[in-house]
Amino acid sequence: MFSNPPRVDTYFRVRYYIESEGGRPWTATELVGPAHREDRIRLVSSFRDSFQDKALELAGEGFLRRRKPAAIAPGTRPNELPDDLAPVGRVFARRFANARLRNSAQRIVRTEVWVGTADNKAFGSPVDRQGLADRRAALLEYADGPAEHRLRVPLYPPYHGVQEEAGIRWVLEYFEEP
Amino acid sequence: MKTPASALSGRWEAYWFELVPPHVFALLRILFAAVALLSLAGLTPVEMFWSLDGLSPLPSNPSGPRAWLMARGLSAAAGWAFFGYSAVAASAMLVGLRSDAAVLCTFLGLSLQTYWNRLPLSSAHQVELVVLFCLIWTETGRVWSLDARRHTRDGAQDATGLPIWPLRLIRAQVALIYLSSALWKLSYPAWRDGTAVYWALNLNGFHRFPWPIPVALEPLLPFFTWGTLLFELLFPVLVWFRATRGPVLVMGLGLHLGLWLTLEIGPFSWVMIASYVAFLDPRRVARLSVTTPSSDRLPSTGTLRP
Repeated sequence: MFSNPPRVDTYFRVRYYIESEGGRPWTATELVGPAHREDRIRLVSSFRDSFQDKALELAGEGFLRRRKPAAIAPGTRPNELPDDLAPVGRVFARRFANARLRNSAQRIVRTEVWVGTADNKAFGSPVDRQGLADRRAALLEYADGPAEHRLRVPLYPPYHGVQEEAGIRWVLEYFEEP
Repeated sequence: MKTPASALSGRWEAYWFELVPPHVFALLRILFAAVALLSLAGLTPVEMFWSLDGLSPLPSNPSGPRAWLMARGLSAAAGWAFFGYSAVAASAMLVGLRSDAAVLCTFLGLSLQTYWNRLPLSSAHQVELVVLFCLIWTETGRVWSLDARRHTRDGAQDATGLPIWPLRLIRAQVALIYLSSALWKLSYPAWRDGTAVYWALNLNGFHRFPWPIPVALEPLLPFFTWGTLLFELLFPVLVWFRATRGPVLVMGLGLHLGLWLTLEIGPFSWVMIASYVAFLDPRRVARLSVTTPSSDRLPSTGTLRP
């Protein structure tokens, strides 16, 4: 990692699409990496978080290394992608379902793993305090757990679709439809 | 009369088989067990990092043991069993209960962990593995252990000497870690142009403090970058000589404490600091022991003949 430190901050989020018979579909999006809140000093619990961050980093690296360039196309299906990010989607989807969907008729019909990057300021350039504040504000939406969207439910994005959020460029890298 | 060949052979033998007090090995055992337990605490919740359906690679071999366990719904049970095994082995190593077996079991557990779930493991894990591999071949429980208490009737511990070669191997390994790290870093522009520390300190997954680096401090960062590189390049040379060993270890301590203070990199700093014990004079380490028998019982500069 530190042999060639990246110039970007990296984020991982998992989005769940939930449906029930006769009910309105809704989504929940969870920021899973970094595991700690970056607007706080990292103290004792962040030691444990570092293991989760390492796992996400290695899963992401493995995925990017093994994905074939031809797979980067809007119509790509999960079986055309390497499975390195599958555990990321599955483990957090299971945790979410246990916490939020237990004893309900609702179920997750699609899980997406998004990887976000945000440029760090160049060496010697002034700090963009406004940009930093905007990014922190956007990340705060995830601070209390998965952010739910029940009214404006997004359509399924194409594979490798991009979303911008306060300087973070999110790319849909992996999805599953169990 | 000694021929040059036999003198050289004698020196070679003394270099590897000189007898040293066992305390340094015991201290390494205790410190590395503590680091192993710390890592285990970090690798929780168990369901996340030990269960095969957790944050763990999917089995690549459909007929392998991981796939077999998953197919039978034993992912979580096997994960808990492995975690329990690792915790018991590291705890036994810490207190020196069946020390030799405990070191071996901890080493086997760490080795298996690489196969079981490599995702959350960092270079700290590799350092733990290589140090434990060296400790397997010596007796780490002769002093400062429950084994020693159990085997000693009058409270005096068996401080007879042990061959130094496992310690020498650990030293060589740590020196190699720094050298290879420096050579890797040299191949990347950020380390040559002096910005590597700046980029590392900015990474959201690692920085300990949530504030941007003050622009006024930025001009200092290239010196930290080149200083780190220089330290890693020179460590294998300077640690060799008695006169420079102390200062270079103190610099390393400063480097790793600085890393720990500014970046959250898991157990890496503690593993590296613990490995420095291998560079201490074994006789000095023995003096730390309150139960060490008088110095006449410490081994003189003898050599164990293989």
